[in-house]
Amino acid sequence: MLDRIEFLISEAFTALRRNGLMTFAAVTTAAASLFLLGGLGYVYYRVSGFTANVSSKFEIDVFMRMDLPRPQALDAAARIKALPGVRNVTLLPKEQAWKEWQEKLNLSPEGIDNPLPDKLKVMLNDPTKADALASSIQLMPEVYQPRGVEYSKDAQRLIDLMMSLVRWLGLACGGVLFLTAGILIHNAIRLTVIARRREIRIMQLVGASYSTIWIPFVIEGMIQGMIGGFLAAFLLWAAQGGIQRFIEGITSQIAFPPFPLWTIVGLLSATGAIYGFFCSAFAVREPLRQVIGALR
Amino acid sequence: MIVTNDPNYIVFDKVEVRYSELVLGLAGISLNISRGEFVFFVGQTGSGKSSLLKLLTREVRQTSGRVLWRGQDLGELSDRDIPALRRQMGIVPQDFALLPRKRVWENVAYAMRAVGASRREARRKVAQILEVVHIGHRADAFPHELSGGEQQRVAIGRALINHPELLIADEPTGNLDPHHSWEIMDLLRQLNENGTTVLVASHDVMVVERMGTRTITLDSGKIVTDSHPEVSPGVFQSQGTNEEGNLSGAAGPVEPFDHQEEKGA
Repeated sequence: MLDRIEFLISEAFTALRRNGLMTFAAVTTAAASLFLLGGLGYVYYRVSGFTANVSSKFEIDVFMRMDLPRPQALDAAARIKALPGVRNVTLLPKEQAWKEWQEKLNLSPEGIDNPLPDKLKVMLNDPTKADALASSIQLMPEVYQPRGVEYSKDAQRLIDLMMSLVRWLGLACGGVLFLTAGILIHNAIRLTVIARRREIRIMQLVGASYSTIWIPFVIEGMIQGMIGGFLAAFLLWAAQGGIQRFIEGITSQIAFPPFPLWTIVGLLSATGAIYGFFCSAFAVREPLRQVIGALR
Repeated sequence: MIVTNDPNYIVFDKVEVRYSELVLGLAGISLNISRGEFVFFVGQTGSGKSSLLKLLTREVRQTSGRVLWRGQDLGELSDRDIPALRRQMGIVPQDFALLPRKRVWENVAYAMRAVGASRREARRKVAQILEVVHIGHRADAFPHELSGGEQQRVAIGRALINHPELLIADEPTGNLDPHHSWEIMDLLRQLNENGTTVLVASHDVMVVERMGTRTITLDSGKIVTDSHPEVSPGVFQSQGTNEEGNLSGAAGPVEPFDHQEEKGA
């Protein structure tokens, strides 16, 4: 069994050596696409963590009508809390708000009526839903009109934009490169099949099983994808280190978590190997049939 | 040549091979071959002799009729079973099909490894096989350093790795001069004397006539003649060849793949 595995793997490495230029092209393209996909995936993961942290502090202020009785304000708070995307709602009674204002501005309350309404602090699970929530809360009859809802639209939009940008950039660039890498692996395997048609013919003549003929090509594709993933992980590590040093040179406000190098190496290599497997398995079918057919 | 009484070792029963509407390979031929026979198939290019052999290796499937080998209908075999079928026979192609970057012994060892032999097993058997085909002295040579006859010997050696009881050669002397053609025929004869059934497609009339074995002539996919010479084994006793292409006693007995005993002959 070990002997057979050794034969199949040695056949794959012979093909890799013989088809050097195409192997180089396939490996480097796989590395570039996995670098972009992996890099953007990593950025997305970090930004998601960051936004989750921000969203815990992200809130919408809802001012109630001036004449609204307290029970109705509490009822409105309960209904807002039931809305999707809302984590918590707390009521800031107008008396408490007025007291805080006085302390903050060092005012004397004598002779001045409380000008503030009851206020609800709405905390969100997902800051990207702030726009939709604000609109629906504004329509409630208990809410001050016409502008009883306030929140930091700019911050929310910035986060929203950042997430969309990372998502779409990753999908578009990474996707195109991933596809290119697949086509290159596919072509490399097809060329290998043609380059090795004499060996295939001999195997056919002596009655080698189809798996003996097929497996080395698939191993070759997997190795190409795996090396690509391995290189991509180290490229990513180098790029992250460079960016980290650059940002730390500008500001010390941002703390960088340690880069999980070996997790990334494992993930990208495995992704590359699986991708290489499917590309080569697909690539080998038709030319193998043609080469075998040419025997006849 | 040890021929058994079983005439149904190989049976072609009204076999037709049609490659397309206009191209007919075989036109309903019927034929029986006994175990241990040495049979030549002759005819012009396109006469159907290669199609006939390819039916046995299942490189071609008949359009109608039946092809039986040892009672097994080869047309019924699934694609998955074809490698196992070919492991029971030896196939010698006209163009040698040797790997140019591998030495003689590596060419044979490669084929052995491809059918599952271990490295150690291949190393042990290769020397034996090369001796059988009288090319052991050139084991370390590359194919381009060999004559055509020597290259064909290597190809025959490779066909013997599975110890086949049936050897199929398609134009094995097609690329050889008369001297080397006789060398190859002498080798095939020795294998046949030791019990291997040998089927050869050839258009080399001179070689075929001098061998004096059963010869089936095909034309346009039909059998035109089927000559069964009254041949005694003595006809095939080692005669070898001389420079003019006459048999002259070159090779010794072939021992390792002797099928006589297993036939109980």
